Amino acid sequence: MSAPTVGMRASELVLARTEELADAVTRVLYIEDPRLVVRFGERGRAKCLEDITYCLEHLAPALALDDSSLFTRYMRWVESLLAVRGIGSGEVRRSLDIMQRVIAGRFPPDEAAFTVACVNAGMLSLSGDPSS
Amino acid sequence: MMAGEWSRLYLDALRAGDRRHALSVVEDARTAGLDLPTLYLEVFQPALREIGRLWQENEVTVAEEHLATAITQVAMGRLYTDFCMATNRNGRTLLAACAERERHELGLRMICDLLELEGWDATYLGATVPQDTLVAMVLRDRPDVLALSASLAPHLPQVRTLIEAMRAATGERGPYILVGGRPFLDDETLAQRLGADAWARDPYEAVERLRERFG
Repeated sequence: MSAPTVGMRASELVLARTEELADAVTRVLYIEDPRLVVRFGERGRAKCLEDITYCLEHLAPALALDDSSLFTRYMRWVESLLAVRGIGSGEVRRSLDIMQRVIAGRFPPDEAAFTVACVNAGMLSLSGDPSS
Repeated sequence: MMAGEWSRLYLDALRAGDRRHALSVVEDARTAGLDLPTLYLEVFQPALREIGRLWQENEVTVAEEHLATAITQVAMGRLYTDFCMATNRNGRTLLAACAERERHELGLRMICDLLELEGWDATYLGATVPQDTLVAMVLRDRPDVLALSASLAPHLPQVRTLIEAMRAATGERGPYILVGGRPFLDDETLAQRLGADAWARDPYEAVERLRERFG
């Protein structure tokens, strides 16, 4: 088999560190918007951690197969799913923005750039108003 | 009564989580003359798709969705023993497995039963089969077809790795590899990029494909 591409390496990193990344994203999300605790309580935080984990699990194959549409389609689906559960696009966008920062600060440069670009494609694919 | 109406009755029973009632609807539909493909493709499939949609709309819970799947598995098991046991074999063989960690297995199970009905020997290995085991089994049994299901994007890299390993191990005498699952519907080139020979959008199309290919 051929040598792993940067996408495959990035994917391995995401999978190996899913728990750590999801935890970091969730913590920053709640630090930057303390009202979330009031709105959704501790149960909301647990659900948030779970959702971020699923997002990372869908980010990994998009990186490994060098196909960002696997991630963007998932994010659009998540967006519609959360919309009927009272969570708007702005919230989803913000969590992806934090995901980019968390990954940029933790991955080696090449893998970070590749991953951040894919997460960015996910953000751009969201249909809601960017300012919301 | 049309298949669509049976499907609605079945869906009502699933939504109520009423296993007995669901099974009695199936029994009545059979008595009314519905055959196995009609029950699978026109009664179960639309009902389960609707349950999936309702989950997405936050109208049913994950637990209710899983119960609907479990009830349908029971119903299929009962139908299988009645319909498929007596059929003559045609010598064609298929091995079916889900990607590791994959748990959406109903579609693959339907394909197996529908092919059995046509005389194939279709072995269903179920969810979460380790790659090495699957390769060893293909080398031993040399099935005509290997059917793989991946309904979630996170499982796709495993499918690619598995197909690579399978091709490397079996060489030119390898099985015809058919894949299916939600991600393939969104991108017609995906199956080919993963190394598969073909893909199908649902159990009906899978059976059609294999009928064309193997006559």
